[in-house]
Amino acid sequence: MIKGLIGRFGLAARIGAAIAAAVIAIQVLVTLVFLTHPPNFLPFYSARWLSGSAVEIIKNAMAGATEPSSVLRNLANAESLSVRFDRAPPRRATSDPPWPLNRVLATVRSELGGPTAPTVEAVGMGPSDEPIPVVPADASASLPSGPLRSGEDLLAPPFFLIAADLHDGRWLTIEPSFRTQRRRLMLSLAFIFIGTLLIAAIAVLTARSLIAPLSQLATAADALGRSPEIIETPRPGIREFAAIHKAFETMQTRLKRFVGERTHMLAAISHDLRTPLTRLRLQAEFIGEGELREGMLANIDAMRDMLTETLSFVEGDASTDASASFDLASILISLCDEASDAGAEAKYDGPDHVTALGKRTAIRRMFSNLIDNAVRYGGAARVSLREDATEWIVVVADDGPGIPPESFEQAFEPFQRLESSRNRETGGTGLGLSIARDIALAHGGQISLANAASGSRGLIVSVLLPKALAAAS
Amino acid sequence: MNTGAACHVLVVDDDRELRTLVGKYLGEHGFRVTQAANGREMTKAIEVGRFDLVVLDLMMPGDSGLVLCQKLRELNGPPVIMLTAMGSEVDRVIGLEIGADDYVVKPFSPRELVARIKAVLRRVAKVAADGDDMPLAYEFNGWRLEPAGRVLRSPGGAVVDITSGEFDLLMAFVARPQRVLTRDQLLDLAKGRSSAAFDRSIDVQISRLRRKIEADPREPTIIKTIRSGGYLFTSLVQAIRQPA
Repeated sequence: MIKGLIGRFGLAARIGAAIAAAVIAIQVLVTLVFLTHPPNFLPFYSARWLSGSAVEIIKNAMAGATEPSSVLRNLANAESLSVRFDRAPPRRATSDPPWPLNRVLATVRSELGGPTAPTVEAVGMGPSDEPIPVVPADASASLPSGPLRSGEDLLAPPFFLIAADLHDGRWLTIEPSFRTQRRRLMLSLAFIFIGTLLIAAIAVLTARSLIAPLSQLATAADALGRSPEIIETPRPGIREFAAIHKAFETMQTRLKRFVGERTHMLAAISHDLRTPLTRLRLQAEFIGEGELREGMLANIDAMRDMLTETLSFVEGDASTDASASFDLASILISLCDEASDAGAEAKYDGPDHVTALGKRTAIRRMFSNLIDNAVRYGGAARVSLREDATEWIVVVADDGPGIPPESFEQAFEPFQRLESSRNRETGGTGLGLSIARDIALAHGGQISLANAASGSRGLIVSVLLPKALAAAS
Repeated sequence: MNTGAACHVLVVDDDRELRTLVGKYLGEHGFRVTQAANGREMTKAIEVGRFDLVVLDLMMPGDSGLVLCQKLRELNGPPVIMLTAMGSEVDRVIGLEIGADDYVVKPFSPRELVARIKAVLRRVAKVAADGDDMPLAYEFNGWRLEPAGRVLRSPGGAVVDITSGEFDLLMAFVARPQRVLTRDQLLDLAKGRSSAAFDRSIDVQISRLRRKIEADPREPTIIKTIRSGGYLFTSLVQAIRQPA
């Protein structure tokens, strides 16, 4: 239901909504953190509170408290101070700290009073362990000193250390609580982290929902060239994508229709030519024996071959053959035998049986074309079949002049005939290699050309067919 | 009605010129020919005359050749040779499954047509004499030969490619297992369809066939050479008549 609701918005609205959602999420988080852990914006201490707290803590400690948590008990804002017990006086302690800590120290001393009063020392300390003077040293002398007067208070910097000798071998040290500050720091780090995760999650979810229809379209577009059927994709909810989707479907329909019409036309022409060609073939029979008739028959046969080849190229993928188990070697043997029966030189070298999976008639057509080419242009076909771990390798070599390497790619193009290097009289449509490559690719294989090593002549056509023939179904 | 002479052939094709030419050629080769331009004319001709064979074009306006062929089959009519312009394997099989006895692909050589007509007539005559119809398949040593699709399957189920010469030779063997066949007999039995392929000697065809079906072609166990001159198909052959 939510999907349907969101679905009605456009792309811009969705991106906007994603950003807004992220911002709102962060604001909610900030508010939550602020409410549960209100920040301590003023790190300064009140000198009166500090001296009072120190007196209280020292008294607690002298009364026998041994744990930092117990000496801090019942103390207001106790979390702002940290207390620890040592066996020796702190290294930085001095009995003459800079202003205003000297006044805090004096107050503590005066309030503790008595002969049993512990020694109290204090030091101003900065982050670098050096005392940070709050006022210039020479100005310090003119400032009031001694314990705080009644009603008087001062701001004490957060860099202090009050150490008290408890006269029982223990030293008590009171410091600003860095733990609280560290926790605050950790908290803000965690908040940044959680916030980042939150934004990332929202971004990923949004992006995914935005991209999903695009991926579907991409898949459909990729399949467009392979499948003769119209590829259905669900109509995306986003307005802009729906428009693309509609355009794509229209394009697909037009494209299929266009290709279909062309294919149909080519097939129809090739097909319809057969009837007059059959008539011609029959008429030739009535001419009577002789050179004229033989010539006519040869031409008619050449035309028939071209028609057959064109039709098989046009039919191409439309072949309804299912993938099945067949004997690859037997095809090569038969083709070579048929070629030698027709007076050509064709030899097969390889095992007698090799079981493969694929479209048998297509595979046969591919090798028929290759062997036919070798015989026609190369004077002989030497076919070999071997295997490696993953592939069957069929090589068809001939004794012809070969073709220049720069023309290899051109040789695979439909209706291309490399007349420059080949005999014009040999006929053919220039579809043989195109058909062969289509078939090899459809079976997940490859087909490549090479010239024989220098010193010998001939073109070498290699066909690699994966053993797990990815038979196009 | 063994061959030629008195055989009456009905040629059904919508192309008048082609029909006439086929008729003329068949006439010259001793057949009596009647022509029909479409299904209606064909039905009419069948009602009036008696035909030994129908040459039927596949692609015709109105009722197509496949429909007419089916009709002839239902009427238990004469054997049919289809003229088809569609060369692909699928169409051939469909044509044969629908009941055609054979087919020729346009543009065909009229000599080939005559050879096929004669082969079909011979087969029909043999069936009439033996009361024996063409089985769906022959099985021997795990191999399976399907005459309709001209398909040979290995014991593993893979389709093994065989040339038409090899197919015809194998058909001759599986129809007469465990009988010594001389070269002349084989030549005569197997040349029905593909006379061209038999320019090669029977011995060459035999060795090619062995390469396809024998485990070791040099030590053949299925097709044995008989010293006195001939070959013996040693395996037991089972003719399958019911679809599995």
